[in-house]
Amino acid sequence: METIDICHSGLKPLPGRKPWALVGVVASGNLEVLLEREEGDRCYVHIETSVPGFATVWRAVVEDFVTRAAPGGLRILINDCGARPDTVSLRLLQGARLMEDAP
Amino acid sequence: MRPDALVATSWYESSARERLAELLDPGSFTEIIPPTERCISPHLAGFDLPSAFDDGIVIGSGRLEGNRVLVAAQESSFLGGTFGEVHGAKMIGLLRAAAGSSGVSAVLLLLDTGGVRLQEANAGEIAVGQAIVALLEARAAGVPVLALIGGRAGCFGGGGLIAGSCSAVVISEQGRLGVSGPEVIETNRGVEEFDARDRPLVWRITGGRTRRLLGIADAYVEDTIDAFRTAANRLLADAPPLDLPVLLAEHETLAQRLAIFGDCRDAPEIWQLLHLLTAVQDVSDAAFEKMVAGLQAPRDGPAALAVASQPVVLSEMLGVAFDWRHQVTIDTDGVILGNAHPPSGVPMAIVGLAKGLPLGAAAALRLSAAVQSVMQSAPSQPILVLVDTEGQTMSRGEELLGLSQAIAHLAKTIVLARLSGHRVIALLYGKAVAAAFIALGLVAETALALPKADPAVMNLAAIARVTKLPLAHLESMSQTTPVFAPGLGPMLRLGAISEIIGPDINLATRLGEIFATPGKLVANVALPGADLARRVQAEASRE
Repeated sequence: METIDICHSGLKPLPGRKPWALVGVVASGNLEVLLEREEGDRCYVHIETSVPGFATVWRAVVEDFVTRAAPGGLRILINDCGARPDTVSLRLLQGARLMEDAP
Repeated sequence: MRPDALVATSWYESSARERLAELLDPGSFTEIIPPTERCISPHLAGFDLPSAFDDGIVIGSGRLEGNRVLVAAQESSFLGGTFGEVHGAKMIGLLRAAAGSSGVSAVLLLLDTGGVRLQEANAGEIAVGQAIVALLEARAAGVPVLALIGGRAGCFGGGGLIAGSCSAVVISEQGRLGVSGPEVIETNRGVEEFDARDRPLVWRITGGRTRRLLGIADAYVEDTIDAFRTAANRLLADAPPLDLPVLLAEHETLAQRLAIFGDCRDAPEIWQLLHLLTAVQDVSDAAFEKMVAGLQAPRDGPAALAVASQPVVLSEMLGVAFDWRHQVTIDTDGVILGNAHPPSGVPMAIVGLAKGLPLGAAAALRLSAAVQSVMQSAPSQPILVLVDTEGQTMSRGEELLGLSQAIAHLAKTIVLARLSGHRVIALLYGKAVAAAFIALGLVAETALALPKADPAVMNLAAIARVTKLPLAHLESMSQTTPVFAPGLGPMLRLGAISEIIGPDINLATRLGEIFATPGKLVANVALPGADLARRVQAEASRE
């Protein structure tokens, strides 16, 4: 297992009022993403992955997500079981979209 | 929830959360211990495995056609929906809340599981036993519990026993139900016994249609969440209570099934005995339901369950001092039946399984009948369950006929005896493995053990094979955590065994003391996940 922490700050707040959302499941080639609102303008991402050695890819995927979604005021926890970068990207955007729903 | 969808949502393809969202009244679901609590397994990191924030089970309360229900849904994509410590505690707490709180009209268990999680084997095994007890307490309190089965993992191992303990079972064609999964049987008995890669065979033996034809499932539905909801509502309307007459009737049904279909090894032999002219797998869901509705169950004479038996002397069999007068017999299947008389006071009934023999349906029924007879003839008589068994029988024929239901019937009988005022204590004196250990040992009030007892869910070599971890690593881990290591020590540390009867103790005398002091043995036992189960129970009762 490898743990990766990524933090982007100075972001626009994510719209919507839903306090948390969960997308995906911890299964081979998949991942679970828990999104929670917090005070401030940062987007903090904590990753636990069963496949070590891909920190650079994780940073790139999260940076892309931050550019596309403006996810300020979010704490994101990820349990990963070897998901591909495109799956990760999809889940992050899916989660952010869910957070924009009504509570 | 997609009420405007053109295609109905598949149960099989949906996740646990998707099933719940569409099964319950829209927006009515409130999760207990949601993912935000991060209540993860404390053991998986030690195996270098990722955790899930819900440990593979979603529990909570909601409404079904306006009635308040408690629900638990297993997520089979996460470690096969298996029972670990946290996973099990969530289900146990929920079921206990159902028994204790008013306003709960039913419990729905969306089972999708391969059974006990090997990385937490002991905790999972204990949890299944506790879940069965809590489930039956809920049913005895008048709250029906339904099993809904149609997911990817099917419902195997301890999950099969839990399904067999439910008021009714709803299953789809994709659903599978049993104790030993095909892979397990193939590994243990060889490919000639069960070729796990032969998918049509797997479904003929364990699949939804075979389960419905034999009456192991009470409703057969097409693979949509809508169909499961409709069937659940229909079954809840006349769910059977849990009492002795119901168990006696079930016993008769199971004995008849064994007498009529006992030699069958594949589903077509059953179709023939049921006079079904078309191959069951070729018809549509609707035609199959019509087929079931028109079935005339064949009847046979009284099932001949008895086999040759001979008397045994307990002190010789167990290897410890036992000075009460007793009449105990053991038959060729290893079934122990009898009683022992203390110098004064009520005699003790004795049942059990000896010589390390496996537990098959016939033995399970003989043991159930003995306990049921004690319940009828000797109210509040204490019962001792002797346990030396290598586990459930692993055979295709036994699985075909629903061994899970027969073993669950035994577990139900033992729990109902306890609920009716009988003290039931297990004594492990040899092997105690898997489903037989659950039904004979883990649903009793507590288990005692002789020093030579060797309880296990699976041996370390097999766990190493499944978890792909080096045996040496597992051996060193088992020194520090009792949660998965086989043997007496770990089970004692986890509280599944409350006392070891040493060689200097007269077993009969000690049993006399134990039966004279209700509850004392279990007072200080803290089973794995006990705190979490209590918390779930409190939260589910409060809603």
